[in-house]
Amino acid sequence: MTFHSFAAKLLPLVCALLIGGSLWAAPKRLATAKPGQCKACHGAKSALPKDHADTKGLAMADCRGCHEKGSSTDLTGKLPLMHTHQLKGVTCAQCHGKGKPQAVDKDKCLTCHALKEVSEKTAKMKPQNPHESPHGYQEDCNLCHHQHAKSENFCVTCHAFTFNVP
Amino acid sequence: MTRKLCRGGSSWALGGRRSSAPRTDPSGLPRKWDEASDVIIVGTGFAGLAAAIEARRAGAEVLVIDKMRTHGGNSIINGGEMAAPGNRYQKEAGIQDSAELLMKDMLKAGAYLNHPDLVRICAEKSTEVLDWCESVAGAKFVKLVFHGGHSVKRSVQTDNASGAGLVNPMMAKAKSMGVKFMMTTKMERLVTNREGRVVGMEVRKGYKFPDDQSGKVAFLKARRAVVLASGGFSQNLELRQIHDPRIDARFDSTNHPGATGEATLAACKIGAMDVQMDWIQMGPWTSPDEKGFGQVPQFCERLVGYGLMVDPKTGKRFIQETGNRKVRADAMMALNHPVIIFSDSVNVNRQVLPHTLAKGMENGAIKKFDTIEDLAKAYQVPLDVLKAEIAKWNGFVEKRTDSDFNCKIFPETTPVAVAPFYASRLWPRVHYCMGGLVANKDAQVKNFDLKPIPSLYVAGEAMGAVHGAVRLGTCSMLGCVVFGRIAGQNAAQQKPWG
Repeated sequence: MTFHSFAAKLLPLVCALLIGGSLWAAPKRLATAKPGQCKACHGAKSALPKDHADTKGLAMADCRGCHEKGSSTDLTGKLPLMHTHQLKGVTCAQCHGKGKPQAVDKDKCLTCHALKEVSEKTAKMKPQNPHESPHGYQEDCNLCHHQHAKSENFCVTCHAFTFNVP
Repeated sequence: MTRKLCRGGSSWALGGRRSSAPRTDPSGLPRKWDEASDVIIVGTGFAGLAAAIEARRAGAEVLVIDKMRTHGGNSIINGGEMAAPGNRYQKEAGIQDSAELLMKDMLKAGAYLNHPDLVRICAEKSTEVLDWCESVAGAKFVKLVFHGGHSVKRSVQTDNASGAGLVNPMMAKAKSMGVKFMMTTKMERLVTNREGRVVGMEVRKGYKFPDDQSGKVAFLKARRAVVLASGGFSQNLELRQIHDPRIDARFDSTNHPGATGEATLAACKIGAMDVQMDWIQMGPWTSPDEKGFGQVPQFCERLVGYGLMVDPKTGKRFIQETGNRKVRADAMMALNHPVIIFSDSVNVNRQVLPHTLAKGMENGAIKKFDTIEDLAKAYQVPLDVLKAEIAKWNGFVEKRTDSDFNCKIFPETTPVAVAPFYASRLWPRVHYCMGGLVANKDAQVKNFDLKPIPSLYVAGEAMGAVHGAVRLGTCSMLGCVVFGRIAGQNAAQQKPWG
């Protein structure tokens, strides 16, 4: 057996271990988890700081009691957006439907978030309203706003706009 | 080692899953095509979308792929300006112009290295193309603008001052006609049959730029033809340095990050010929103090002929400020450090748009100084030399002649004298690749037998020798739409092979 063929046989095993390992480490996306029940998805090792108040039964409005918008503890850009959705009572099934969840397109976002209203909300942002891009990038919400990963500021591909993307 | 194994040869592509049998036969043809279309177009900028609309109009089934998440490539981030001699705004303003004059201007700027038959088509189709962009694609062009190197004011600009003003209506039009789009799909290889005809391509679907190993391998069958509208390679550091070693990592680019040119190389691998790849345009008007294209180009270009461009090390002028893009960029690259451009409040307020000035000062790329002393201190310019240089310039302004560098001094130019003074640092950025694939006037790609490669077309920046040594501003948009349309029409006419 040459080294190449040996390595080729070993490869699937190595890949399986790597993939398995990373899945095990990632938070579960449990449709039955209650909002505020961090451990259901994140496991015993809590995603919250050690001395954080118990989040059981809390909704987004309760979180904002301490994490006031615009304050140093503002959660904007820190939580993947699905947390905000969940804490506001929007469940997995409301976007993904029943059965095996599939990625949804922007039309799903638009059912609740009309582009015009979103743009009005950010009209005063400097140096540019991110929802009035001359390139039309606001048409694809997912370019910046991610549900299950950290959101990103797509504008910085070319511009030095320091947007904190929720 | 692992990397090498994962990569797999193209004929033994793993396709992201374990596979017992090779997916291609020994000649590289796939055993099974995953998808098929009459015409497959690579790229979603001006050229690709123009090709898609025209191929669809001719009755072909059309699939457009793009490796990026967003459509539009560089087209959607450009200024939306297109040269169009004889347009209605020129007529309103009483400006005489013609296709012949545009052709002359393009050839002169291109140092006569442009292939004249391609330039002629660009120029002659320009009126028709403006009409097509408005009546077929649904874009709106609202004003007339001037760009350096053109004999007359002849370029029209979209309603939102961006290429998006044409890209997005074209995209909507193409979709409404039933053109299919597959984003995050990267062409890896063109597939040819025994006769050398292009019959399809190997792609990676679900590709995540710039990860070469991302996505799944798939084979797309092109029954009639493939159109490459894949842009240039301004963002490919290694490739551009092969052709122009001066353009190293010191130089950023105005382009979107995906302008890396692999599709051009893939065509070369099946025998396509490239031309003038070392003519890479540097924009001499960008600032190292802001990202991307930024505000400074509009500050700098409005100020040339109204202020001084100085080497901060010596405090002296070093080039004709109103020279073309290449002359100026070459001079800066020879100095090997950023230079400054500045003028006084009278010239700046007359020439520079308030919006540009405000945005440039806000991001710090344009600075305001109450005295020349402050300006000299900020950029570490020897003060006495600088003062003498300004006095000399002001003398030229009085005489309306620059006997040092022959800079154009305009009738409105006034001496640099009234505080405050505005300045910006300049350092060129890679802007456009004039070189690309050799094509004939039917947009067919030529091979090393100097014959067209059957069923392979090219349009846009990927097509070489349209602009020669220096591309004139606003001629890219024109060339993209002209040859995009031609490529799409001809691709649809090819006989299907299976």
